[in-house]
Amino acid sequence: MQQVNRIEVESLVKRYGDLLAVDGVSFVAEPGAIFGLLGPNGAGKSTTIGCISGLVEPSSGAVRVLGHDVRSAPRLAREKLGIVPQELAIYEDLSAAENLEYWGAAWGLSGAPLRARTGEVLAAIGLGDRAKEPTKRFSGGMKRRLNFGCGIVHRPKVLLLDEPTVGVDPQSRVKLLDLVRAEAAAGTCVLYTTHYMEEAESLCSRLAILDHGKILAAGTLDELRASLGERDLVDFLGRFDVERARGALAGLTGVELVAASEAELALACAEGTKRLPQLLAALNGAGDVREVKLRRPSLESLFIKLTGKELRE
Amino acid sequence: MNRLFVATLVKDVRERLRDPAALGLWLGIPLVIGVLMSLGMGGSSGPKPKSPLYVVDHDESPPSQFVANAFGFGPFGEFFEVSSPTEAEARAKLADDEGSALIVIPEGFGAALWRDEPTELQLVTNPAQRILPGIVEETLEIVPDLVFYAHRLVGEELRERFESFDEREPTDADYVAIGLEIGHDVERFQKFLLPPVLKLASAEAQPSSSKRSVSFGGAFFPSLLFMSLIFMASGCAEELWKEKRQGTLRRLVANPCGLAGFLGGKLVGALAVATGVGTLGLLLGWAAFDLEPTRLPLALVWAVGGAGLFWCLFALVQVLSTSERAANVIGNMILFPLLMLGGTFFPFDVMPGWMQAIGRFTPNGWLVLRFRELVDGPASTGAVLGAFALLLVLLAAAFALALQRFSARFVRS
Repeated sequence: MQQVNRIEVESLVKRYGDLLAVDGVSFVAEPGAIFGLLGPNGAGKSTTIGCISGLVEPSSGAVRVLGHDVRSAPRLAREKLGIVPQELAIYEDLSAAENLEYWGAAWGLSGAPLRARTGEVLAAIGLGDRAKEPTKRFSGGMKRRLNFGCGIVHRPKVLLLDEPTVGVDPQSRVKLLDLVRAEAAAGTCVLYTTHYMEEAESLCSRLAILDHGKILAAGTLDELRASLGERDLVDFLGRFDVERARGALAGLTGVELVAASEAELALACAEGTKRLPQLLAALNGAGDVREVKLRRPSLESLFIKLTGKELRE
Repeated sequence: MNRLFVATLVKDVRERLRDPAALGLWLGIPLVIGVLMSLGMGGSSGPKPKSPLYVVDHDESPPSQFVANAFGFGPFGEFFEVSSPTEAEARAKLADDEGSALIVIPEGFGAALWRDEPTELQLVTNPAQRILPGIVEETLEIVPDLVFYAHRLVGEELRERFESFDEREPTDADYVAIGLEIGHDVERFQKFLLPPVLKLASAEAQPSSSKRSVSFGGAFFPSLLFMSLIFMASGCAEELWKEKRQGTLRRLVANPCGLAGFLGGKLVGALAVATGVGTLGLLLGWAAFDLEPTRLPLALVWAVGGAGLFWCLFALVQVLSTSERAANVIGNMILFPLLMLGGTFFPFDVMPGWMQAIGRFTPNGWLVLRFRELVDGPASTGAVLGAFALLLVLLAAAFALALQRFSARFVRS
C-alpha cells in the first residue's frame, strides 16, 4: 500500500465530562503543505493535536496518520510522526546536541546518520555554536528553537506544531516560521495551530477556524476571504444605542452589522473608505462616535464575522 | 531491541554521571547516618536497644541464680535482656542470629562452688556478633577469680560446713548460716596463694550450617549498602515527575515504541547506577570486613535486583501521586519508616525483638537478611533460587503496576 503523508480527521469528538472540547471536527492535511488550525485559547486546537499524537483518547471519530488509524495501528501511525508540543519538551540537564541525539535515537536513528542529522538540525535552528552547552543556560527563544529541532530530527513525514511560537522573541519567531516553511517545502505534511492571525496568514495554505471545539470555516486563505465577500470591516468605538444603530444601518444597502455593543459597532461593507461619510451620517442619531477603525478583508475580520468577537489572546 | 528503551537507558545513565553530587549523596548519606547512629547509640541517655541473653540454669541454687541474674541489672542491664528458655530453644535462636549469647549453668554448680571443687560454666556465643558476646565472656572470666578469692578468705570454714551436711544438699537456711559466718571471718583471711579451681569453658555456637563469623561492622555493612541503594532508587524514581515537569512525556507519548520501552529504559538505567553503587559498596565491604570474594558476585546481583524492586515501588508512588510535592511527601513517609523497621537504619542485631519481628516482613528487611546469608552463609542453592525467583516476581509485578498507571493516567494528566 502506498503511504500517504497526510492527516485525516473525521468527525472527531472529545468530551471531558460535560465539557465538549472537540465537537465533530473533520479536515484533511495534505503533504508538502501547511494546514492551520486557527482559534483562540480553549478553542480545542491542542486537544485535536493530542488526539492525533496519542496523548488524548478521542471519544469518537477517526484519525488517520500516514493512512493508519491512530487507535487500531498506533505504531504505524506514529512511525514518521513528529510533534512540537506547546510547552517545551527538552531535557534541561542535557546539551542541545544530546537532546537531539536522544529524540533522534528514540525514533530510530543511530550511529553516523544520527550524528550527521544532529549537526544538520543544530545548524538549521541556529544553535551550532552552542551545541554542547546545557540547555538550562539557553534563552527562551533558543529553547523554543531546540524544541522545534527535537520534533524534526528524525525527518518526520507528518509534523504536528502546537503553537510553537508562543512567548518567542520576534527574531526567533521569524527563524521558526522559516523552518516550518522549509519542512513543508521538503514534502512534510504540517499541521500548525496558532492564535496569531498573521502567522496563519503568512504560513498556511489551508486553514480551519475553530472555536468552542467546532470548525466554523475551512478552506484556502482566498476561499475564506471570499466568504467575507471582499468586504472591509469598519469598527466604530464610542457610546451607542444598539437598537437605534441597528435601525439606522438597516436602510443602507450592502452594509452588515456583524457585532454590536454599547461601546462598539462592527460593520462589514464593500469599499469602506468611500462609504465612511455615509456610515457616520447614519449613526449620527444613534450615539457618539469617538474612534473609527477600517480593516481590509483578513482572517481577523473573518473571525469576527464568524464569531462576533475578536480573537482572544 | 526497542530503540526508545536503549535511548532512554543511555540518556539516564548520562544524566546520572553528569550529577556526581547525587551519586556522592547516595553513598555519603548512609555513611554519615551510620556514623551518627553509632555515636548516638553510644552517647544517648535514652533507652537503648537490648540484645537477648539466654541463661539456662540446671542448678537453681543461690550461687547459680546470682550468676543468672547478674546480667539483668546494673550496667549489664543496659545491654542485655536476660531470659531463660530451654537450652534447645536458646541454641536454635542463636543459630538464627537472635541474641548475643547463652550461658549454661550445670547441675551441682552451687555445691561445687561451696566445696571448692572443679565445675564448669558453658558460654555459647553468637558468631555474627562480637561486642556483646565479648562483654559476657569478659565478665564470666571474673567469676573464677571471685570464687578463688572467696575460698582464700572463707574456704576452710565452707569445707567444714559442707562436710557436716554428709550426703544431703544444703538448704536455704544452711546458705544463710554460711553467709553469716563468712561475714565474721572475712577479715581474718588474707591468703591469696592457690590457683582457681573453677574454669570457664567458652565456645561459639554451631550455626545450623556452615557460617563464617563476621564483625559488628560487617553486620552493619549490609544495612548501609541497602540504605545507599534505596536512596538511589528513590532518587531515580523521582525523575518521573521531572520528566513530566519538563514536558518530555507529551512528546514521548507520540513515539511508536510505546511507553513500556521508556519506563523499562529508566528501570535499567537505575539498575546500571545501582550496579556501580553496589560494586563500590561491596569492594569497600570486602576491604574493610574481609567478605568472602567468591560470594560477592551473587550478592551484587541480589543487591541490584533489590534496588530495582525499590525503584519500581517508588515509581509506583510517583505515578499514583497527583503532584510532585505529594509524591515526595508520600515517598518520604514510606521510605523512612521502612528504613527504620527493615534493618536498614540500624542493623537487626541491635533492634528490639518486636521491631525485628516486624522488620523481617518489610521488603528491605527481607532483602537485607537474604543479602547477609549470601555474603555470610548459610544459603542453600534451593533457598537462593527461591529468593531470586520471588524477587523477580515482585519486581515484575511492581513494574507492571507502575507501567499501567504511568501509561493510563500519568503521562496524559
